[in-house]
Amino acid sequence: MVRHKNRYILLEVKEIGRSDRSHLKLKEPSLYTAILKMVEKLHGDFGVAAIRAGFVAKYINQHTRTGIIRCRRGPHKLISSCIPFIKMVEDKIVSLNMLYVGATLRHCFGFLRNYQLKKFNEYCVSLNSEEEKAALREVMMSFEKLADRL
Amino acid sequence: MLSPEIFNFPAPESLFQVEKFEGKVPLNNQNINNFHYNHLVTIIIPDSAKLEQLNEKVTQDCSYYKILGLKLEDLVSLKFICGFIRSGKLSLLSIDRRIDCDTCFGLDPYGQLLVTVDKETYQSLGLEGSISHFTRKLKNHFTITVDLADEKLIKNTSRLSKLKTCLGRLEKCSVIVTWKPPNEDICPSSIAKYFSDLGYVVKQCTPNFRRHTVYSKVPDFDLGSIDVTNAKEFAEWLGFVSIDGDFQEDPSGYLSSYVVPSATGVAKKIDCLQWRGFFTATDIKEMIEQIIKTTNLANLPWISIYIQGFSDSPVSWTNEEQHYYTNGDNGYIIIFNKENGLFCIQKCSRKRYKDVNKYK
Amino acid sequence: MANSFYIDLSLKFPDPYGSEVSPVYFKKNITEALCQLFGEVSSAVDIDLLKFDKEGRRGILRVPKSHYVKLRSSLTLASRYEGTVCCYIIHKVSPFLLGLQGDSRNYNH
Repeated sequence: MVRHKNRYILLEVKEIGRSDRSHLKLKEPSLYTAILKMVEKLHGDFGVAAIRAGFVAKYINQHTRTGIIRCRRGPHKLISSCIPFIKMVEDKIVSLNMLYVGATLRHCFGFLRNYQLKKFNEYCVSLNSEEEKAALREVMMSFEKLADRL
Repeated sequence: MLSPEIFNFPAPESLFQVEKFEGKVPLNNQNINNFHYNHLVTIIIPDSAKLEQLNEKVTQDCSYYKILGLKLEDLVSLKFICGFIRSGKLSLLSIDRRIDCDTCFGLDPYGQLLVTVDKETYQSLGLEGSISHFTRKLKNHFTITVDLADEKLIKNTSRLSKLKTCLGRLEKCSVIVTWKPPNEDICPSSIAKYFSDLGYVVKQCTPNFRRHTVYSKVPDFDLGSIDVTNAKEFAEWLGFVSIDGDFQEDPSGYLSSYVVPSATGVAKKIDCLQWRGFFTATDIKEMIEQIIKTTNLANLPWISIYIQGFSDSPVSWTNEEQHYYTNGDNGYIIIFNKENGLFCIQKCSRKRYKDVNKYK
Repeated sequence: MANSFYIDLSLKFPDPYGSEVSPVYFKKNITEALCQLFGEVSSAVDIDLLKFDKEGRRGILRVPKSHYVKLRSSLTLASRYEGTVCCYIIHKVSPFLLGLQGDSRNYNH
């Protein structure tokens, strides 16, 4: 039996017409349904059937507005070709930005940590008290929960 | 499979070759000589008037016989081998059989009996053969070649009788047959008499003729300096004429985006004549000669002759095995004028079936 | 277009005298079948209807080699024509248009 190869795609969700700093609240499965709908539109029933196995898409962080997708290697081409076309998630007009495509979750987390740290530093400029900073650090940099959810 | 292919589904391959020649049509070309089972001949001529008598002249010698429910063992009787196979030219082909799933056989003018069978039949038959080219790994299709014109076979009575019993195990099958006698005194219908004396139902068939005329612009290619891409385009256009396609250009471009390649001038009258039946390589050569004689070559920009083989013949050219993957089209086109010409060959895919057990 | 496949096919309804089919609707239905199975990306390809016979609802299609397998599979799975049940029958396929003028398989000697 040969190991399944996966691909992990990190996404950034931008809401059109709002600033980059604001929080964006989305339900967890909404990213999943939005991607599935777009794949069905662009690649038809065949495309949906191809990506369904092992496909997970989760919106993980509303502060940095990131999401992560896990899919099989091969069909990830269909997903990555669809992502630029997604304009609506949960009635919100958005645009999706692919940040990183990795072969292991470890690589993705490595990238995510650096990315979050950068964002955290950017956000800290506007914050004054140490408590606020600690609270922000707590939500932005905790990966244990995230690993459980995938 | 580590990385399943999810987007690229290649179509079956096929081969298109172009050869050029100067002067007369090379009737001794190997591709004409070695292509024994021809089913369809199409001639496409622009602007020609003298086509009325062409049908009679072309097909005067092309009748053939259909024998219903032939037992294969009757082909290996001594009388038949000496009387027909070793003297004169005999061509025989099984009909109403599908090459991918049934037993198909053919007898070429050199006395080679070719039988393609599936695994079960092969094992019950007791004849020596080899694995089919297409299922080399799967080993579920076999080809058997018997040289009936062999001197040793006639003398060896025990081998002959063994061959007879083996072939007798195959089920009956309808065939089409044509025989060219060794000299003019013998009538070609002797073969029909031979089989009818054996108690078979024999029917004489003549080629089916059809003709239509289209009006279209003509592609302007110089046959001397044409390249493969242009030759393909030209062949496509010829195909368009032969299927009597709709030459009205669609202004919206929704239905069809086809345009006549590098067309010049006004629409011309183009005749398309088609014969269907059973032709041997010799018949084809005579037909081509007749066509050249009847039409006035000096006045014509070009003449094109398309010849297509049988979908379910066991071989295409010489002993090259064939099968029906998407289609069984083997054929060639000759496009020529008085100075030079093209010889385009279209061959079926030679793709091998994959070994499905490998992935289990 | 040099690298194409040609498909000779007809549209069949359970009722032999079913509704009349115009070439535009025929082509539309084929494109829809392709869109259903392979989506907009694949149905954007050039499919040409070279000939169409209204009586027999039979036509000849030209499709680029790269999309032949996709088109053929979606024709197999197509089951609807404007709300009624239908199916496509493929008579012959060839990479060579001249080959479509006759098939020795269904010729009656």
